[in-house]
Amino acid sequence: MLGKLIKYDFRFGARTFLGLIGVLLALGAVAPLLGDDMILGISASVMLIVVAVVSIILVAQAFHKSLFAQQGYLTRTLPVTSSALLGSKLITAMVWFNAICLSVVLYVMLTMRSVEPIQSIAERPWDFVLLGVSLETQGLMLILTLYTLLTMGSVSVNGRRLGVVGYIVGAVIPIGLSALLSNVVLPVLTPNRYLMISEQGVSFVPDATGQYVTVIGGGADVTVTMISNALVDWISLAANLIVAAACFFTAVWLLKRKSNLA
Amino acid sequence: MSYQFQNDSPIYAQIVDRFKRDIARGALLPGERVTPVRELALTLGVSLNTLQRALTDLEREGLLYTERTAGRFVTTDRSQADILRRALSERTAQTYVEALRDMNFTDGDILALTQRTLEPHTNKKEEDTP
Amino acid sequence: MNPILQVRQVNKRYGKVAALSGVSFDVAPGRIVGLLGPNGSGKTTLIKIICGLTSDYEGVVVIGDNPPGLAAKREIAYLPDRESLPDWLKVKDVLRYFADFYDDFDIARAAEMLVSLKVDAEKRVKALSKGMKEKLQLALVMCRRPKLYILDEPIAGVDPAARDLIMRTILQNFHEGASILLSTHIISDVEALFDDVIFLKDGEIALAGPAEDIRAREGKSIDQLFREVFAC
Repeated sequence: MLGKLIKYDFRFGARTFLGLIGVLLALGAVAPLLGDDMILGISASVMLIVVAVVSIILVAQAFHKSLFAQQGYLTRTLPVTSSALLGSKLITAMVWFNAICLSVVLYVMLTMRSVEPIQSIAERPWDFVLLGVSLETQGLMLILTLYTLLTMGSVSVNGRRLGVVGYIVGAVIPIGLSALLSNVVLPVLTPNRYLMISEQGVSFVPDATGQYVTVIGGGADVTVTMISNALVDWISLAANLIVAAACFFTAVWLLKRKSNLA
Repeated sequence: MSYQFQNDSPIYAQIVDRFKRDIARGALLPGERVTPVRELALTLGVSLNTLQRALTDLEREGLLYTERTAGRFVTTDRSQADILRRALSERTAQTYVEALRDMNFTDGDILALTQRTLEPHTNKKEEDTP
Repeated sequence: MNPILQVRQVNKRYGKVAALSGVSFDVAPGRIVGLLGPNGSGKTTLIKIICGLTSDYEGVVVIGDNPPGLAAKREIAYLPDRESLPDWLKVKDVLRYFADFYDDFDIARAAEMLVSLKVDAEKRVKALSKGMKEKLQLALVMCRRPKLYILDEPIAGVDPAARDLIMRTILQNFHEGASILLSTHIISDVEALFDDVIFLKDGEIALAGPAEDIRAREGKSIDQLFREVFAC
């Protein structure tokens, strides 16, 4: 059943997402002919933001239309589990997420006219595997937070649908939980990895001591940084995966037991 | 499909009456096979259960019988048709007479009217319309 | 024999408004049941609860041996009162969709039915007229073989000639032994088909029972009785 759901969810988004990717790559091919490097650099950042926003909107629309609009009368009476319904949407969204990320990298390469990203990967493959895992985790968190908040909107309390209130609650909880884990719980549990230093920024290149330093938060004159032996911190990663999983199961439970179709 | 029956009285009884009338009229002949239930229900525009009830009643009265594999048939007992015919005709006549009496016709008027109705051309010169 | 559907003391509120109060009834196997009431009487709310689209209610609903949920969904073929098909697919793909998810779906028969209903299998659903979409949804539902068909207002907003076609399609195709719960506010055309009727007034059952018994007892048609019970 899951495979069949994926087939149809995929078919629904295929044209739109492939279109988006196509436009992005076409622009990437054309842009270098138009401007100088600085403009292209700025345009790359702008494109990144635009593509991110558009993608999120598309994923949210697809999710909402299938489960909470009129089509819900069909999809939610199919003899499939809520886990399968959500799982299918998660998998297709992750595929699009990866496709879009890849396209963005290609766009950057096209506009910068360089193959530097590929060279970097070739130099330090293991780091980029970790980066990839980190990226996937971010993607999962993003999509699942989106799905949880949309599902929350359809939940009824005392006969009243939560709507926008549900969206807010459904967004705040995963984000808050993740921030809590990363910025509070983990620093407390593993104090020797965290130092109060006031300078460094984000760096993907190890410093003289061979360690990576990442700023993760702080106030006016104090920055809390995290020092780890790897580009990606496994513990943070695990924490985010746990929050993502919790989102998934929460969304399934909400869909099955608490959600009402309008 | 619909509108074949009055909805203000039990429909199964109306189906029974219709079958009886058809047998009396000879529209359904002795030994004739009755249309299968599902198809008949569709034609009559009634539910299977209603039709089933009517057919069961007719079987109980001996007007239909079921042969397990072959289907349902009208009784081969010809006297049944005659009995029905008599009962039905008497009822029709009774209704006719009562309706006319209700309009203050005397028995003589009724007879004359009946005569005229049967032979419309030869009785023109009889009395005027009462 | 066990009823195919049991509803006991179902209550449903929207905020302070009670959409359903104390609704209780059974649907026996092989019966055609008319769920009758004006718009807003709670018919669709009740149906959504049975189909598992509304989880927030009080009371007990049992379909076969199961509460509304995965197992129950296999036993119900539901025709909603609104368009619900994936509109970017072609009609023939929608048939595939149903075949993919429902084991009891007879795709060959559905294809035939669409031909006789004059629905073009190559068109995209969004290109169909409203009437065509309704016929398509009907064909999809009636080519399944569940224990219970739930049809929500299949003949509302449809002209009398089309009504006949729809009712004929339902009766010709429904799986024998199955029950049908048909909700409508248009009664005189179809009342001869109901074995049982339930009058739902403002979320409560005003009257329920075998149609023939009601006719005998009241000396009226169900339609006439309906007008009296629901007189404004």
